[in-house]
Amino acid sequence: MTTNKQSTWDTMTLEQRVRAVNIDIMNHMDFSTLSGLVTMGNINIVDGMPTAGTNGVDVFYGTEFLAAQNRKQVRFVQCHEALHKGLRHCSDYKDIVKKYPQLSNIAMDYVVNALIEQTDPDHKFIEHTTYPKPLLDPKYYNRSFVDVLQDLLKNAKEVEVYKVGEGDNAGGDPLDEHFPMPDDIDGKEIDKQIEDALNHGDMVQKRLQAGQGSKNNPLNGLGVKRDTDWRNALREFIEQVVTGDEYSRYNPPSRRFFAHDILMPTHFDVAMGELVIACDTSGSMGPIYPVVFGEIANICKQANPDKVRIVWWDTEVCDEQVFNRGDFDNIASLLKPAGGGGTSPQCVANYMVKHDYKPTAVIWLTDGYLDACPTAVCGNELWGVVNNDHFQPAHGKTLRIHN
Amino acid sequence: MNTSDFLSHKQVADLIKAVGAKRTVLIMGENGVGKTAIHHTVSQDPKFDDHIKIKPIDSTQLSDGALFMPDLDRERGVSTELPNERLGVSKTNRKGVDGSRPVLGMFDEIAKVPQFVKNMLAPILYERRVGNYIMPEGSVWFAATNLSNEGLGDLLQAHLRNRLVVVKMRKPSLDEWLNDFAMPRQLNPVLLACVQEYPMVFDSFLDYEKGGKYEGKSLDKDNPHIFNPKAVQDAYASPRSLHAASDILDVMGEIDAETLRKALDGAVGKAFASVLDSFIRFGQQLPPINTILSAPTTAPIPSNKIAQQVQVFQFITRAEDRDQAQAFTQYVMRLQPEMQSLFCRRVGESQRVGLFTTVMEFGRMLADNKIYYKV
Repeated sequence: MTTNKQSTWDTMTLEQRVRAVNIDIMNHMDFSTLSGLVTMGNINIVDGMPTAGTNGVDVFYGTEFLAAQNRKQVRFVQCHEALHKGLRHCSDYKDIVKKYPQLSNIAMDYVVNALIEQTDPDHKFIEHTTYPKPLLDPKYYNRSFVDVLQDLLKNAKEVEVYKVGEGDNAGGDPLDEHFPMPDDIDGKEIDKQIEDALNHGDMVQKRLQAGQGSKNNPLNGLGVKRDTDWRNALREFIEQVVTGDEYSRYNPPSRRFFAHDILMPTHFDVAMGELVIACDTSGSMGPIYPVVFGEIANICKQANPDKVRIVWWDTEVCDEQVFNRGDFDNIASLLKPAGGGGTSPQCVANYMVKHDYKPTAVIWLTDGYLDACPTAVCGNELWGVVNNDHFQPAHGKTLRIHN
Repeated sequence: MNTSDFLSHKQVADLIKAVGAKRTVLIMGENGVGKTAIHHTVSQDPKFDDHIKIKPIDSTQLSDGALFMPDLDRERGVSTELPNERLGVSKTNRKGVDGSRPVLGMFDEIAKVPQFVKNMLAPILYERRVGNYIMPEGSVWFAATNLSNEGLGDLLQAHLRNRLVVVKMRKPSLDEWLNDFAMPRQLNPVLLACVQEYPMVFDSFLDYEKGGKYEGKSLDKDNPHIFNPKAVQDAYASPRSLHAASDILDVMGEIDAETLRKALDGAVGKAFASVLDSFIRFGQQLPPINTILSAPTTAPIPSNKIAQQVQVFQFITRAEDRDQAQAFTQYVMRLQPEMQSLFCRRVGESQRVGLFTTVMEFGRMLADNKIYYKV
């Protein structure tokens, strides 16, 4: 006698399966960050659609595709679609997507899949879809969509692009379709809903963790807008650490008026020293330097440090430029970047020790893709990290610069 | 860093009340935790009713002339020092003069001042003396500054610290802040509701350092709401800035939504302002609790599904008796399965589970949703 015992999953309707997966996600220690996003919008099950897709609000599933996935695979797809919503892939990059439709889709998938993979590397909760196989490359972990797209554009010839649901690409295929958000949807309203969903998800996830755990959840901070005004922050840092100050005191009093029975204070200055700016010469940094140094020149004219020393480095210190008081106007125009490629900032720390430089402050300008963080070179270090929200230096303050 | 060697606001205040007349207590604590507010707490104690209470002095604005001025007595061939009026000591109010009243004062941000000002403050802190003027018996002076690892330039040499009683003060917990500060001052209810859902604003950057409860986690990503000494932040949530946010929320009817958001950004930082903004929106979308309790089967349901989830969380904490539990359950039965499952699960985890398990509809909802839990 044979029994055909059906699992609960098999007895559910397709819509119930998606709802069941939403509930799984809402109860998961880490993926619950997506609680708000998975319930946002509507679930649409569409005949004839090859895989799945989202317009940034609603999610669409092909009937056959959804029916073929097991519970862990649907979790993967739901998380994937929720992350497209949370990262505003369908609304914030319409112009880029119009220009590079296929590569944009690929880049977005790399970003989203990397986040899921980092959250559940052992696949205890999710499972990759078998067809299409998701796009995944460790080199794109912790990278933004624009960053990945730029990299793909550089290597565009090497990237084989398939229509969704076709091909047998060993490196994976785009999982889904990213429809532009319809124009009749109020973008601002959706933006607020996404913000609410991310805030709520963050709260749910923190509750589930109950303040415990030492593991970083890669999904944390999805909604944080890192738009600190780097110009103001740079000015404040430089002024704070290298601007001299003037003081007056009555002990001792001014001798000039003392004989006339008039007590006046004496004045004294506290002069500050040298500012070192250590510049990473990776290719990605080139365009930012004129902008940042234009700003630094203006700040230095006012803060008037004794000296500004610019050190150019890659795997070794390639050159240095020194600007004294009175020369600060010319910093931006006289820049002579030297070196290129390679990212070993320890060479700067060694160089400063070797030459016995003792600056008041050091500003590192880098894209943050480094082999290792260098040893501390002075008590006041600011890391101007360009277009990278993930690099965190071991010491000093971090200033995120978005170009 | 292990924060177990930190004291609470109350403990620090009690210490100053007890020993402040004999020894100078230096409070070290991260910015915005309420160090300056200790002055207010101590001042309210009846023990100091007779004291001359001097408002906290921002030491960074001091020069020696702001403490005392030299005076020349050419007849006797000496110079003396005349104390500044703000220090509360004078010819008529000093030790040995009948009717003199002791002084209660605080030097804030003391470790940030130039060395020559620290030298000028030393006699006040160590001996309760300005020049030849000794303060009346019972005078209390204490000082406060930031933690050195906040990177705000707080430096105090070892020999100076050795003459003070140095204690570290921690951030208040959510309960301490609510009960000892926010409720008595009637801070804005939206803020109070929000911080109860977001207690992580009372975590400290120290929790993410070695030995801290979140050691190994990235503060930058895990809790962008609070002060991070390793990041450049425009603003962040601290007990002090939450108070500022409350003042802004109190007048939200007088300003437009954009002004409100920008003001909150400037007070508590963009990350927590965004959370507060969400709370305000949820508040506008959710029907009043009384409407739900009186008509759970017809009360309006918010179209925003995130607002529905917020509602579910609220129901569990708001249900006070079986009738209310039943009304909330009837209302939740009208929501989609995700919300029902969320409700069932959270009820199961809450201490109010007993209230709900006696409600027939809750049992039915559990049974209906069983399908979603079976793999």
